[in-house]
Amino acid sequence: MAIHDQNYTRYEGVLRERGAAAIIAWRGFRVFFSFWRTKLIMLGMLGLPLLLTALVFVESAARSSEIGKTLAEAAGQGMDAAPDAAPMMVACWMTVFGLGILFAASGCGVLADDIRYKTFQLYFSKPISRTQYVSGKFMTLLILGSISGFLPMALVGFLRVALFFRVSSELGFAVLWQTLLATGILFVTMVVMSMVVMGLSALTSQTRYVVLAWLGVLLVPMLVGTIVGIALDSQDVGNLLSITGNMWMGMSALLEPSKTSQVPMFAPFLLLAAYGGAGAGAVAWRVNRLEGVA
Amino acid sequence: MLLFDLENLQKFYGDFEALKGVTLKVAEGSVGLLGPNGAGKSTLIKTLLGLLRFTKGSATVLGHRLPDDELEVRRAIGYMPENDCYLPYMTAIEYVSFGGELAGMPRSEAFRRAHEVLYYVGLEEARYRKLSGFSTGMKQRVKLAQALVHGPRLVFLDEPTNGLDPQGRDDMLELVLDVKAMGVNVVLSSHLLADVERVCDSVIMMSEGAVVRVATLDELKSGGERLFEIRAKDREDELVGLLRRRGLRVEREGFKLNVYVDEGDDGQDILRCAVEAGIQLRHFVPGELTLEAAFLGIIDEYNQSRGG
Repeated sequence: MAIHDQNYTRYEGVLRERGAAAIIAWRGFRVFFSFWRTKLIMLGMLGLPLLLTALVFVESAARSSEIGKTLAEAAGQGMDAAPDAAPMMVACWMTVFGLGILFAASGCGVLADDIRYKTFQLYFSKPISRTQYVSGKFMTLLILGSISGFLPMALVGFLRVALFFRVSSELGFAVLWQTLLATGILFVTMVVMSMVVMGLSALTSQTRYVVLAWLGVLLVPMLVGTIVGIALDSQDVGNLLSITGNMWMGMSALLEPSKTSQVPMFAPFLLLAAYGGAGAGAVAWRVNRLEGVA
Repeated sequence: MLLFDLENLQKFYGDFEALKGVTLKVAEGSVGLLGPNGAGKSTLIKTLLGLLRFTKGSATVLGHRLPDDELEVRRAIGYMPENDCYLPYMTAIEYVSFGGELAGMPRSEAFRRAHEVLYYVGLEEARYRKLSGFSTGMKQRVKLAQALVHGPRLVFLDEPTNGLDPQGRDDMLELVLDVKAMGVNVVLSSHLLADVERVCDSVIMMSEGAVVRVATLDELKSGGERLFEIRAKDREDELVGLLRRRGLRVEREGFKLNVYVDEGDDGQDILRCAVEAGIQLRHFVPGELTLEAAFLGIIDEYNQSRGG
């Protein structure tokens, strides 16, 4: 390929510190989004909020109608009784599971690919710090998770809040509180999952091992938890083993405070923090070992 | 302004001393970094980029102190690493504009400039192709493009002609020379001495983590020595022994002997030695010292002094 006659010209514009973390995050998201598998899973994940939207409209119509009033009275409840939190919890649980699959398909290479392809050298030859690099990578997963799961769920939740406000403001506030708690825990779970994925990704240059490890972290404790739950006749204890189980327990503790639990209320939050902390520890270990790589 | 001002720079990996008190003052221009494998060239480059924290000493690059101003240093520097460092599923334009954005360019400017530098390095038709499909030569060029995108004042080129065919190597060196002609300072690390000879004005020679010599190419090639190429009819080994006993450095190169004498010497000592021993010389001409010869000589001398 011929080299052109054109001479080299220097860029004389201004170079500024421009939020390198955001640049890395956006570029990382665009790279993941360029994969067909990511688009397909994201599209599949949108099915859940769409279904929920339809159900929210049905629920709202039932609350406003005479038939709904009759049914509520027959069940011994007034029309102003706050709706059950279980549907919201199931929806969040399914979203988290979807995010788990999405991260397995697209997020696991977030650091492993940089180790494998030595792109650390590109990043660290530019004016960015290690903190910015790690934050950028973390934000990549958050953007991926937010667009695919968190934001659609939050939007459906707030649509539900708006519809309940039309029935009564008391009911609206009750549902708003329920939605805020559920989306808050969903967000925390997404953050924990992102940290775990990053931690696993920091341990090896082979993305396929990260995928296997992540699926293991997601699924094996669920199965073991089920076995433990059956053996001890306590599903609450079994739930403590897995990320999804802890999220369920956390939601249950906050959204259904009247329900008695066999484990302390703080336990699921502590364990979620431990999962996230382990991931953060692995990332810190890798970043401190970059001398040999970069 | 000085490119680097290093004072007793030391870098340890555990107990291993990778840089042994490097003290250097390098003026602007193009500098070659030479040394055998494990000499500490890459460690020095990475230290100057602020990628590695040095253990002791002080370092200033383009007027910025390390490690405090490491981001400023990297903003002013372009780095072309020796090995591949790209995500194969990125296109060339994404890769280069991403590099520009990370360096602090506004997104639109980085994108525009990426087109410009990719055109400059001869990759305009491959801009939107994935990097996984690039040949070795194209990969080297795209690495150069990302090093140049933000208009650095200094570029570190680590083995830029690695894996290139003769034409590709020539093209790459032409590019580097063009960049240099536009006032960009170049630090070229290469084991190909001919590349350094073609591009650089001065050379830093390293061995075992220490700087062995800093000199301009002309100084190095004259090196206070003069070369004579001789060929004997027979008894070559005996002649080598005699010359060495007289304190002359002799190297064999195929059928000829390269004899190094002091700069003002006209080679009479060599002739006298041959005549006294009755050895007939078939060839006796002054030769031109190459960088390679100078390099090998200096490294040899350094190793001997360390051994002795």
